[in-house]
Amino acid sequence: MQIHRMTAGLLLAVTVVYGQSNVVYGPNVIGVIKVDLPANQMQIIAPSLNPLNSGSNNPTMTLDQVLGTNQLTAFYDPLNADNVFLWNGTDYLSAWLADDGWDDPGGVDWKWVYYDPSSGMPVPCADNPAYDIKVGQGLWLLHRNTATTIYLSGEIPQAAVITNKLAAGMTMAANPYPVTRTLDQLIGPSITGTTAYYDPLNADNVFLWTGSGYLSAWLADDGWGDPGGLDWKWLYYDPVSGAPALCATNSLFNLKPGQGLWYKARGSTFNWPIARPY
Amino acid sequence: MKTKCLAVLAGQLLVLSAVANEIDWGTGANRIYDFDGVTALSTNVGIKTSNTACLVQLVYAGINGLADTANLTSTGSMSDDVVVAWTYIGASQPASQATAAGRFTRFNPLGYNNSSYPNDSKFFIRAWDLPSPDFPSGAVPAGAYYGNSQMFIVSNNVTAGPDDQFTMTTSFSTTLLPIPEPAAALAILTGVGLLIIRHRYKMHYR
Repeated sequence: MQIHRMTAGLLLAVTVVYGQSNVVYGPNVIGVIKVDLPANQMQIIAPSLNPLNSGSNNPTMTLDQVLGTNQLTAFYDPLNADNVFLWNGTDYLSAWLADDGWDDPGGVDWKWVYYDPSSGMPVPCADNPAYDIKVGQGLWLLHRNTATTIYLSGEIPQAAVITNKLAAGMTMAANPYPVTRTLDQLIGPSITGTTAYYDPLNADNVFLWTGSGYLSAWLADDGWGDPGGLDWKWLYYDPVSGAPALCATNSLFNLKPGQGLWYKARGSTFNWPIARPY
Repeated sequence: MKTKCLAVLAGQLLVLSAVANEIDWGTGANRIYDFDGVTALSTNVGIKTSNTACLVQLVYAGINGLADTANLTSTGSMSDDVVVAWTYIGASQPASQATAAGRFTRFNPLGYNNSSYPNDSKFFIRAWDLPSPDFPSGAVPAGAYYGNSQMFIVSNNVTAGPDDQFTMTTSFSTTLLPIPEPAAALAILTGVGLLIIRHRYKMHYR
């Protein structure tokens, strides 16, 4: 990873592509994350860039800011438009990119909108804080059309530490910094609140979406006594041997910029602090 | 206006695409016990292979949602129950008998890939107190007792959420006797019939 320090006010565009970690940082450094979207598939994506001029803050963002409004499929009918699903801990909040054949007043054209259950009318997500997101958060994106590439752009986070809050049970989360990391680099038993165990059904789990299914891992406290340094690491079952293996040795388990995950916490809600890696 | 109403309706019905997911299943911190309710089912002291350790099945409870009585034919399923996967006591557990006895885990990708059963389908874990005589076919052992776990309900199979994890929250024992296979049942009935005839014969000529 090559690092350049930039002077304040200088804007630098960088491209962070899946599988790479060429990250440049500095005050007001602009980043672009390239995300390939297969046709008619769900994807867990994650913003790891802040809006412009956010400096070292970690502000909330609207879907319009994160995804833009002109690079995905828009339609007045949500079942034909690209959709977003936000997990709120118990259910999904859904939204779609509107191309307003409605001709409604209220300016919902080419915006991310949701249905207001009381009026049955589409409302801009930007007007409802429940649809705001932050770096470190994951969300489902359903792309309806042919395969495409989108670009998530913004300012590279400068905060020394960004803290994700993980709920008891399931949370959609992500690395808040645009750098490829192993699970062990991101979260481990040193963080208070994690649960490690030799049995994956009693340990904290991570689920990575592949486009058609999940890769699953668990945080191991190796009561196995196995050789190979499995203790206090993220493991998965090797489908061939049936034996536990280190996620760090399998790049499929690396979390890439723009990629989100599910975290299943067996214990109570806890804070997941992540230090800036650059 | 008509289009608008349809779109509103569609929006209210907005759901995620149907996606099959994995079912992870296991005992968690609980155990499965022998007939006595005290002795955890053995992995045969560290050998822990499918040929030597007690058989465990993941069973779809069918339309009636009940754990129907098992029999001794094939995988042991009766009525509308379907055995969808099987493993053995000690699978994916530490070698230590003290830890692994009565326990197993089937976790992604060794779990069960659920592409057939929608949300609200009911499953249960059935354990036998002997190994399978032919593990690849999932055949149940003759002369064995069995027991059933609590019911588990599929909930993540249409929302593209993570795996369903069926972890036992209580232990159970293998205290049930399966219905004998037809040949054995016929032999038993024949024997009972002969005893009755003999008894009547004796009474008649006494």
